[in-house]
Amino acid sequence: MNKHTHAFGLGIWRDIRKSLPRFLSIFAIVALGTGFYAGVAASAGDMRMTVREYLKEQKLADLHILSPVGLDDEELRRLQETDGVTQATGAYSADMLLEVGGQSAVCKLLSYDERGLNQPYITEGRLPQATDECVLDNSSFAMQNFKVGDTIRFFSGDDNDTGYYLKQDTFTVVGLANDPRYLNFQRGSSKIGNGSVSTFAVVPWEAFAPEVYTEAYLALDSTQDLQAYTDVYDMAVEDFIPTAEAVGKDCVAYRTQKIRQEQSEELDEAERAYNDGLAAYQQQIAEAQRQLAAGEAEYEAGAAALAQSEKDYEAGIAEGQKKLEDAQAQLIAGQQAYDEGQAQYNAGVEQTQILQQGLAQIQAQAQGLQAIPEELRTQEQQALLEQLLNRQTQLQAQYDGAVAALEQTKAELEASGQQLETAKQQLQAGKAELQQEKLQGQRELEAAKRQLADSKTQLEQAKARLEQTQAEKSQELEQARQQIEDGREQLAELSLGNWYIFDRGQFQGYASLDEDAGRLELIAAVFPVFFLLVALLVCLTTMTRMVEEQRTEIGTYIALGFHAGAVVYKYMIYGASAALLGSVCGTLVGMKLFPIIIINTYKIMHCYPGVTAPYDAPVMLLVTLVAVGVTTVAALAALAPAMRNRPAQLMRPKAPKEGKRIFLERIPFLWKRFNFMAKITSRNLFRYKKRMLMTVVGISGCTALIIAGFALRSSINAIIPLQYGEISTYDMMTVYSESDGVMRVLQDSDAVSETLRVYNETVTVDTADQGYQVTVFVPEDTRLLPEMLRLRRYDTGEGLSLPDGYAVINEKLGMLTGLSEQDAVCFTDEDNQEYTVPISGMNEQYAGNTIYMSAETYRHVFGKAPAYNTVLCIMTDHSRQAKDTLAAQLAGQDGFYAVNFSDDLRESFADTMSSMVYVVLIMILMAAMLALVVLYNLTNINIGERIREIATLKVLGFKDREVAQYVFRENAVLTLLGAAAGMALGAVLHSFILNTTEPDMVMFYHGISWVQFVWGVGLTVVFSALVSFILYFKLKRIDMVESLKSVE
Amino acid sequence: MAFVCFEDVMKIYKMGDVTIRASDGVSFEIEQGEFAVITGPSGAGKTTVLNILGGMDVCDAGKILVDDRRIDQLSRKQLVLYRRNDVGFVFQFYNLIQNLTARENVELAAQICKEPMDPEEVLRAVGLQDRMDNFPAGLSGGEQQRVAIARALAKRPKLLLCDEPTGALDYNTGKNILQLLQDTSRNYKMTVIVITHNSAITPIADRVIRFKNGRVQSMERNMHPEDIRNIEW
Repeated sequence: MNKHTHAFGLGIWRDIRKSLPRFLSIFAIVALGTGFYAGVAASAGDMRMTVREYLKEQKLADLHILSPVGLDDEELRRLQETDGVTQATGAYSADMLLEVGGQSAVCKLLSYDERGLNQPYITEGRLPQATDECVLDNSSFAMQNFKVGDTIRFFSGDDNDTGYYLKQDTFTVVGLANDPRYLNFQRGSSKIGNGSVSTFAVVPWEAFAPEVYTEAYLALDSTQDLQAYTDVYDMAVEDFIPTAEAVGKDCVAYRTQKIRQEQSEELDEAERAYNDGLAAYQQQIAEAQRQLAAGEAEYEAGAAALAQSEKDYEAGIAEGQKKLEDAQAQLIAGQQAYDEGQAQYNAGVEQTQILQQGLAQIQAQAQGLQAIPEELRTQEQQALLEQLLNRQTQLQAQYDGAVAALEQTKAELEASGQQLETAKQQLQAGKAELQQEKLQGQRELEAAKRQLADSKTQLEQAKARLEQTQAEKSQELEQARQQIEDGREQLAELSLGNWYIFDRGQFQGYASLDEDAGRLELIAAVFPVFFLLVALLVCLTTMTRMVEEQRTEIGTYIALGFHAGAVVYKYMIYGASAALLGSVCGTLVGMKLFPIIIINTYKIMHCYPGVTAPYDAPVMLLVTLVAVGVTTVAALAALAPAMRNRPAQLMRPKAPKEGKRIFLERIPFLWKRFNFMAKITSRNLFRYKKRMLMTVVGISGCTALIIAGFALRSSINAIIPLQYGEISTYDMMTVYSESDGVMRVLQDSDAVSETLRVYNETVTVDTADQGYQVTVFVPEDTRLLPEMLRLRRYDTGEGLSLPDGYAVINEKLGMLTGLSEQDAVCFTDEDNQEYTVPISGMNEQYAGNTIYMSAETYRHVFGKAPAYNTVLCIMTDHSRQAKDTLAAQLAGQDGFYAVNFSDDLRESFADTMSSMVYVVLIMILMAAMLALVVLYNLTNINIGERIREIATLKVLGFKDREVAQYVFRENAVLTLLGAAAGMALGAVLHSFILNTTEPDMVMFYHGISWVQFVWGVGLTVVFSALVSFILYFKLKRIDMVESLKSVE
Repeated sequence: MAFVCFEDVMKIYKMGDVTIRASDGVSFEIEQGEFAVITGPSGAGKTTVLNILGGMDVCDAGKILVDDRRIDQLSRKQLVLYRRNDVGFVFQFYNLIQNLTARENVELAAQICKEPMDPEEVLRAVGLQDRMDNFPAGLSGGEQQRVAIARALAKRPKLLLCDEPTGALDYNTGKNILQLLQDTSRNYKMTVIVITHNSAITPIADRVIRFKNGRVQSMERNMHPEDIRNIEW
């Protein structure tokens, strides 16, 4: 046997040399199949391993503890001393605003402790050392806006001052980093700003202001030697959670006690302050009241004085009036007397005149008598003259007396007239004076009155003020009292709530990375397995063919006395060595190449450094075993019938397979129409049914892989134009809160033609296994909605409306939750309030999950009006400049949070999706390579099997072209049959891969278009033609003499 | 000039260090319409000569004329046409296309010729009128060889070359086949060249060429060929 072995070894080596193309084709196909399978299969594991190592290196915590009241040093000490805890790190975090290009973005500030858990992984620069240094998120957002060396400032986004969170607000960026708590580019949600965190920053823990830690991170003993993303790890963490909860209870009790004491002291203090305040208040009030009373009295006095002076004034005026009246009366009397005097005087003058006349008469008489000389006179006349003279003297005296009296009277009259004039003037003056006095007095009185009125008003105001102050102060005091009372009451029943204990699933991307790896695993479970199957199938065909070809040789060996086992051994060795070499080379290359390519492409969505792609010996061994097993089993299976034959029989050529009539010949109608070559081709096709089947299966597999690859690519790519071109047609989305300015800017802008206000809220839809984050979308005006966002049915494309009382959900959400029309969707809001709305329709939507309802429905369901916080806009000007201008205008408005332009969203979404596209491209490329190798191999086998036939044709004088036609017509038909079968298979494969790999937040386009079939079938046909072209030369080289001689 | 003329034809195979002179200066002539038998021990170079003459192989040196045409100077493409139009081949193991019926095997050859014979007629001529629609596997060895002959004849070749046509047949069948070949030569005035290692059948030939060690040992014309029925071996 030893000698045999040597000859055998040579035999095998010769066989290999002689049939190098076949050996190489087995090698190549095994290498492709195993390499691709092992590589893609390892990718998911390698992805997890890469992440695992990264997480270990960066010391990602196993548990994250949040306490509503924070954690103090004592609590941390207790955590640290808990059995099973390797390390407990106190940490801070705060959501702050960061101004970026006029918009405010939410930044999550995380504390850095060089001895702590969750070490940032520096990608540029260094870790923070001083308290005013920070490290920024190594994501595109931060990178676009900041660079190392910049200074950044944080603002508070809520009612608290920045100082409530941070000791200082300005930091120098000293580096960029990844954080193990963020494994993808999602940064989570926030209660401030636009509600979502844009980036994180790591600052030294000393920079945080609060006295107690906001949270704590734990590393557990039990997980030190365990690997993340394994069940044992999950279990170990889960097992510890009750312990952590127990510690949490103790700590909460301790904190309750501590806080109760502190607060009780505070309350006492407050009560003292209240009492002091109350006393002060009362005193203050009393004083004020006293002052008020004094003021009132003063006022009363003033009023009395005024009344008195009014009275005095009246009296004074009356007196003056009376005096004036008396003077007037006197004056009148004087006038009268004067008038009388005048009259008397006048009468006196008259009398005097009478007297004068009498005198004159007397004188005249006397003179007449005198004129009678004295002797002549009679006695009588003398007597009379005497009498007359007497009389004249008397009268003269009388007259003189009267004139004198008259003179005197006149003088007196004149004096009295003068006197009267003076009195008159005096009266006039007195009158004027009185008038003056009256006016003066009135003015004075009025002034006094006004003063009094003023002081009255003041008094009243003071009174009102006092009343108000009293009310306010007493209310304040009442409140303070109430607060204290409430505080005491609360303190009495103080409950800090429990700790929130989160495992790693709460870190961004930790779980989704596992899901992505899982999806990759599924792709690996479908695509490469299929791939490997096709490869092995072809390998099997090749081996079978080889044994058949060499039956003469086998016969010779057996005739020479070799054991059957030795012969079997030889072929097994041949097949096994090709498979082994192929598998070793394939897996060695594949297990590095594919994980590196795939993980790097997935990194578009994930953030962690490096790629770990170790060789996985068990997988390599398994794949190699399968490949070697298949080839050796194929050899055995092919040899078994040969072994039953006697050597002599073996040494003759195997009786060629009998010719047979095929069923087509029984349809003369068809058969007659076939030309001679067509008849031959169809009969040949059915001659080797096994080979035909294998070829069709092999080719269909390749076609299916290519179609699935292309369809997958288009399923991913198609959603961008669909989502952002046909469904979401708005150009801009602005997020704001309670701001008129934002709306005004938008309505006034020339670049904006339409606006629609919308209320967006994130709710959770729970299913048995999982909760999904879903947006509730409430448009203010449903009539405007179709211009911004087309709600249409996924299947028929029919438009959907938002009827009152119903909601429309997107198709994907329906698929995730199993809900459909006529069901009702049940969801919970942030406050864990549960709501239910019946569904009226499901819309086509590729990105995100949404529940749409009209404002009326919202009011009905939530019992409140929607507080619009989003504006959708149609823009007339899409230029960058217009966008920047608008964004800057908006940024100046109060309540403005963020603006997103659809063009930008489309780009970033396309970026996210591109990683999947790359992976798919790898699949397509591999499928194409496989198709080429498979077709080459199968055609090669076909030619090998029929080499005598071909040689005969050549001898008959068939031209090269005719020979090629004779052989390749069959191939063409098989290729077309395979491609046709591949179309169906491809559609199934595509749909399966889609269903298993679709992320929750995205719906791929499930349709498959003729283009993909054209690609799949076209490429297969092209490869088939290419293979035919290559093999045409082989056909040409077939040596008739050699081929026909071989039987001798 | 003879119809077939070999002049100093050399064919050398090199296998590693060993050089085999399969034809070591072969010269012979065959006249048109002759029934020629080439005989000699195994390895004497009979088949090599036949392959070269049939356009299946090329010589390394020498001159070959068939119907005044230099076969040794034909290009690959010309050789194909030469095989197609001028040569008919019959092999020891028939080399029928298994997947074609007897008739179809003949048709296969006929459909590539300019003026083929009617396949059915040829098949009748070789005595297979009742077996035309049988597949090779359903025919006896002799019947298969008849199909092979019919297939060669259908092309109306100038030369019918037969390499050990009776080698796989029993005695009587072999005789019948030789009879058919002799008749063919006679009836169709066709030049038939038969290779055999059985020198017993030489008397039936018009011309006998004996090979030994890659050379023609002797060539003789037989003016009175025997009838095959009278030959025993």
